[in-house]
Amino acid sequence: MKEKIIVVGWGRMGITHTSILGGLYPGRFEFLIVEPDNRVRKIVKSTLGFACYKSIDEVLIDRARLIITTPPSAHSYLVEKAIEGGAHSMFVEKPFGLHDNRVGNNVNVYVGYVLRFSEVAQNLKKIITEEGCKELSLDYSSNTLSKKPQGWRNSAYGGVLNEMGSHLIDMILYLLGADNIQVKSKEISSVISDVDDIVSFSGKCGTTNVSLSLNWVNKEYRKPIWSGKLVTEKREITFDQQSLSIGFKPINVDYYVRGRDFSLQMKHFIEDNMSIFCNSIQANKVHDTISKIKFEK
Amino acid sequence: MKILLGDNQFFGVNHADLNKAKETHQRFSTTDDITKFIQASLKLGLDGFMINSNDLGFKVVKSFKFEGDGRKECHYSIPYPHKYAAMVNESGILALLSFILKNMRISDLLNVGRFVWSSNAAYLLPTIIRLEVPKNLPRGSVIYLQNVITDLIMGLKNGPKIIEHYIDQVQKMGYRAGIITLNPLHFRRQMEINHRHKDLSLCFNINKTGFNVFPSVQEVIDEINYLKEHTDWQLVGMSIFSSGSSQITIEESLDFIQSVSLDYIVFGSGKLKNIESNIKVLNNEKD
Repeated sequence: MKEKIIVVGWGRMGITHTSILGGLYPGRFEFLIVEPDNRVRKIVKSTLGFACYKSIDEVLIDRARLIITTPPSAHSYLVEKAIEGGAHSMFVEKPFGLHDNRVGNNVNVYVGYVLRFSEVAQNLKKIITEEGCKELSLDYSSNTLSKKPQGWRNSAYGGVLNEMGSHLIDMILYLLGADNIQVKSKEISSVISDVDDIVSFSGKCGTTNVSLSLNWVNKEYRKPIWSGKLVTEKREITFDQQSLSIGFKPINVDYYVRGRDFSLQMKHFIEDNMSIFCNSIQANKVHDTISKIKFEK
Repeated sequence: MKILLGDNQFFGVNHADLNKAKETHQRFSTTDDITKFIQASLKLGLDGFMINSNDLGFKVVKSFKFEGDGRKECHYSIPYPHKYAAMVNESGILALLSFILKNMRISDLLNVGRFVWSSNAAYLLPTIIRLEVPKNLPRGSVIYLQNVITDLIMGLKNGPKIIEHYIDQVQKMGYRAGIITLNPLHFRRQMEINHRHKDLSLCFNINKTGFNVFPSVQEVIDEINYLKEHTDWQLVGMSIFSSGSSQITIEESLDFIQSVSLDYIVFGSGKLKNIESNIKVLNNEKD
């Protein structure tokens, strides 16, 4: 009998994770799609042949793995239902719940801060462990928004800080093995959306000076790019999402969609390997930092 | 082995060096810049060019003066994934459907009707392909499905059926069908039952360093040999210079690629001098 994977929310990330799992493990899983939109359900069933359900209440969760890729407002409810239903494990896409409606902590929750799985992040982590870290700065630039987003994406739960900044804040905390950032200065502005489109801050994470700048309305960029600089006790290293100034040997993955990091993330999820994953406690720490930047004066 | 000019340099793509990509992109900011460079490259002896259907690429092909003899080939890839990704980011997954329906023509009515009746989105493929392909793209040109879309579809249930439908639709329009994938082994294994599409061009990464070659260089080489033996597919190697990696010289890359049984190679460069010297190396070896 095939192992069951329940994908809740058939948007861009739900499709991506399902495809990666189908490619990495051909024929191993039976996918059940939970999607509230009737039109989307009909199209998915007819075009792709997946079994589709309107609500999580219609599927038997027992021992299934869940992939939750809904808007963050539904995360808390869905995780509770999954735990009650006896799920084997849950992967929840970021942003992880809402800053004012957090998802409870559970060891079987894996949060989708995928940048941790990039080879650049893994190499940086190793270097920091060996050489320490005096300074870490990160930058994210993209031309993601061309018009005002709709729904939750244009609310206090959206914005570049929640959607992309959360990735990079998680990466700072992960690389430095810390659980909070003291924010010393910050700038926030909105250009296209009604919330934050350009954000920067600097501060301290333990003894390390950290800074982050985010801009998702930068027309100079064709594709999203994150990059940065690491200063250790010994040297200065620049990097971006695919390279380190000191070089590294890339690893291979068995099925590639969107990046090695996405494949590795799903592989770790299926193998119940939490070694790199962000857990629910750490993901809620990311919320703490975002709240400090967004709401504290 | 035929040689094609790639398009990464035109659109700010360098998988190994993002700053270099940005610099090169600034040199090709208009359709005129790109068209002149392609024409100059073809005069140097390239067999054709590959270009994506993004805004600039579409305009380049739309205004390109193709010679009637078909000696210089156009390999056109669709769609421009970032356009659709942005649409989904901003307005959700149904925004794609709305975009397609807004752009339909009377000739699309039958297929759109089939879609409305069955909810099977595969019926919208002819409309999607038509929207991405300029009318003056010469018949006989290759239309590739971009790897982001191919690989996303191939990981899903019914993925191979959708790909087969794509191949059929492209061929019905008088073009040659092409597939770009970063997972050539997986693609062939999933499509195994159907080798009737003899005129299929399969494009994938292959280079000596293994840069973005999945799952590994040796496995892809073995796969090339398998495909040569068991299919009539045209095999197209891309990323042959490891996206300009400093780990390997151009000469070593070219030596390697000539040892592999490919029908086409595609490489991008923003410098005519480099294109000329690569052609010389490749042609000398051929002689």
